Amino acid sequence: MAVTVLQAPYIVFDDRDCIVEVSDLAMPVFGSFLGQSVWSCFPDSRPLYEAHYARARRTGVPVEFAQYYNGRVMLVKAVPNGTRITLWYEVVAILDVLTIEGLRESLDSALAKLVDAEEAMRRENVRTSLRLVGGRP
Amino acid sequence: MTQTGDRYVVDCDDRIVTVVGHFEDTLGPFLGHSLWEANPQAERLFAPHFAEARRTGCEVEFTSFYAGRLAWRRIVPTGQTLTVHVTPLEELDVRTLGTLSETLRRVEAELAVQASEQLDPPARASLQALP
Repeated sequence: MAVTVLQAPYIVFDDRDCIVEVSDLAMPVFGSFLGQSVWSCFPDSRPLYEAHYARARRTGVPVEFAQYYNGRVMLVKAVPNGTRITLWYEVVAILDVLTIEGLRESLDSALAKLVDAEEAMRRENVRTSLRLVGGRP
Repeated sequence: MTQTGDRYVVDCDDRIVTVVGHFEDTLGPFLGHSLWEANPQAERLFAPHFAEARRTGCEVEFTSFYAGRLAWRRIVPTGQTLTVHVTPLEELDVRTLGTLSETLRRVEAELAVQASEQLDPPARASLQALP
């Protein structure tokens, strides 16, 4: 499971994590935050996302992860370009909070998708490591 | 139970005729429309209580979860018109799995209390029989 970047919305952060570019598909969510720090716009998200961005910048290698935030499970791909980060994302589950039954059902589904995505990414990381060990890029 | 002033009034066909407090924002745009149009999936939860209030002519109270909030509702009938007073009890915080888990636990605990109170109403007759 991975973000299909060609179809996914994306945003771009500068070295201070200010949003400097928003794709058309990301406009409804991020358009009004253009030019602002992502952490001032979404303060609770910092402990969840910041370490991934730091790793992408440090290693220069794209980082993929699955994350729950604000009622949604998202697959995220952080692609470093110098100190900038392009963040592709895909929403794979949304909580339904209308009724308690809907909440339980959608929460079960969201958590299952989160676990599946994490497991798929872990397997992909292992495959990549094995290819590198085997001398195949 | 501490009551807020938040309330709305529905007519005999469950059309919204008056909104007070925070319902001015949420239900105000639906004045004259069915409550069930404004609150999808709420009919199954609320309609039986509305019917009881209309049938008996007595106030009906219940606690239910709807749209991310657990609330205590008191329905006061005036003929077929109902005034629904709503007091929020808990609100789901979906920001992170931690906040979701914590608030969901509180919601479920409150629902469990309500369920046990319904199953185990005060046994007035028994108490009166004691010396």
